[in-house]
Amino acid sequence: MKQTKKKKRGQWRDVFRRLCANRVALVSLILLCLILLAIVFSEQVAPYVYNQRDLDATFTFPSLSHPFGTDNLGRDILSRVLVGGRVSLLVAVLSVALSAVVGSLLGAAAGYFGGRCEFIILKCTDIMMAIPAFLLAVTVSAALGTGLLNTALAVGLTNIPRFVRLMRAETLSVKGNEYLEAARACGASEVRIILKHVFPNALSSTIVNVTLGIGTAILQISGLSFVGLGVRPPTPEWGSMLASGRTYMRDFWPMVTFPGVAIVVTLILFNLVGDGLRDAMDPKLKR
Amino acid sequence: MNAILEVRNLKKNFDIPGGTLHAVDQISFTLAKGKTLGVVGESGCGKSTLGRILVGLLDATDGQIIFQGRDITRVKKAQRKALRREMQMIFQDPLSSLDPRLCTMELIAEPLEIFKVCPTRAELEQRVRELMDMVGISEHMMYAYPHELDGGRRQRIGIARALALDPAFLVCDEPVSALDVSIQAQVLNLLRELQRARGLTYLFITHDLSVVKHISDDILVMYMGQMVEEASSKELFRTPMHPYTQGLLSAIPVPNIHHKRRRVIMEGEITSPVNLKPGCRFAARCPHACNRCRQEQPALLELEPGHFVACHLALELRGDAAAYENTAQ
Repeated sequence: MKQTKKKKRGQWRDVFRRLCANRVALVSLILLCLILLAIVFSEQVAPYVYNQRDLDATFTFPSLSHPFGTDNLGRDILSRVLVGGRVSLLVAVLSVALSAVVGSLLGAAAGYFGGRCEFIILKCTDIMMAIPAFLLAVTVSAALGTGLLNTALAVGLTNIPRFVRLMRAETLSVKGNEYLEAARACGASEVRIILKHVFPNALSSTIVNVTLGIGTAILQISGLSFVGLGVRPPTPEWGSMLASGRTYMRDFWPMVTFPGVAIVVTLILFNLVGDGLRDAMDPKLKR
Repeated sequence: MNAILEVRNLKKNFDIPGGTLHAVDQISFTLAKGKTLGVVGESGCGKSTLGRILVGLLDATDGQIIFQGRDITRVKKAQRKALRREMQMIFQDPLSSLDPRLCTMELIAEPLEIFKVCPTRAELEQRVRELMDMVGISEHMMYAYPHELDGGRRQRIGIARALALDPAFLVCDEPVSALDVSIQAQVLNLLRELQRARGLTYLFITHDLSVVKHISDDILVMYMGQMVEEASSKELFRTPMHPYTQGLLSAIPVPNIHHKRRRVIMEGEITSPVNLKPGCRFAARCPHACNRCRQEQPALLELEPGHFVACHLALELRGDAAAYENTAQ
């Protein structure tokens, strides 16, 4: 009841306040922001130019001058990880945003309206799910060509069915609630009901799915880069760096380790922030 | 009589896999401005469906609803929205009928936002404060969420929402059955005060006869979608003529152990409302049922001025009703 005495509280300010009260989520959020900042300003932060070769110093282990060591062409791995993060994260975030927005809208429509609308949407997602995700991504990518946006599109499209299914299920469970009928009795339009009542109440698992989806997307992008359909080699990208380091993995660990660690850390942080966000968005949850 | 609402032969059928479900069948009544009509019946008898049809949450299969002199049985979207300002609904379970993610302020403001009643944020807040004051929620609850409040306060929010647009007619769908008895009385008193102060008209749906006695001017008893009896509240409690009504009344607990009375006990199962057989729908459970009851559906007749009964035996049972009256006192 302590909360109720507080004066003005916006819905989002409230979410933020609850997020700040969750220490794990707060620390993860700060760390994630730092990583994102470093990646965005990677050209300024990076100690070397990412594609500057130094053939006299190939395969050097981490040292003071090269904290992450250098790769097979003598390029500084730290700089490449920083710059590579730009492509990886940008493409991952774009693709997940695409699949989450399109998938959730379709899923909510399917769950809310039911009937023929639901049938068509679900059958389409079933067809998409019948094709192996990676094969679909390869096909789309091959058809559209390489490049940042096309890769994001290819990966985003393949992930739409997951979001459709999830959002439909959540919408169905929200739909049974009387407050939707109460809103209708107040004169609320269908659009308002979906946006203001169905979405916020059905969104929590989608948020978690988004944070998990970023991880899957990074892996899929690296997979595409690996077969030569994602981002072309001169541009660094975490997945393709992993792929190229794979050859030397036995004798020279830094080439695979550092991009791998970058992926893992970023993913964990995304997941923790996502968990925190989901909890913060639920006013019923109390500590 | 200044009728605000007139319902004629209202029907609602649901098509379900096993056939047609007659949820509401041939309901007719007139409701005068400022009065309360209590609708009583057991669960599943179609009383909530009736309420939902009246406020336009469901469409009627057949029949007519005349509200403030206009036929509103089938209206266009824009008209329906305009009608929402005139007729509102209070729901049974305040916890499930309030969005758990919105606080008191946002919940009460919702109808005001939809109809853009208040042009500025300050006015909106002012209006919400007035409404909260009117239904008796203190101001520091303004930013509390439904799960932080008790049932009575939640239901007060539901009432504030319904009153936000200043409607003339309210459908109260079991507004107190989810509440504790002590809070029931508070909420009922609030509803009565509001009715007196603002000239509201209520359709009060309930399965609790002691509640309906407290608040209604007229009572309509429903059984399996049909009207079995309608009379003024006093008259119905004094001389119930339909055996079903008699059974219901005799089931009201009396807080006196020395009180002896004749119980009318209903046996048997409710017959299915799907693909109905001919005859009186109550016949299977009626202690007085005869052959005629099982073959011919009784018509609703006005046996005394203002007292309608649908029973072949009502006239013969009247003596019974008188006997009931004696024992009940």
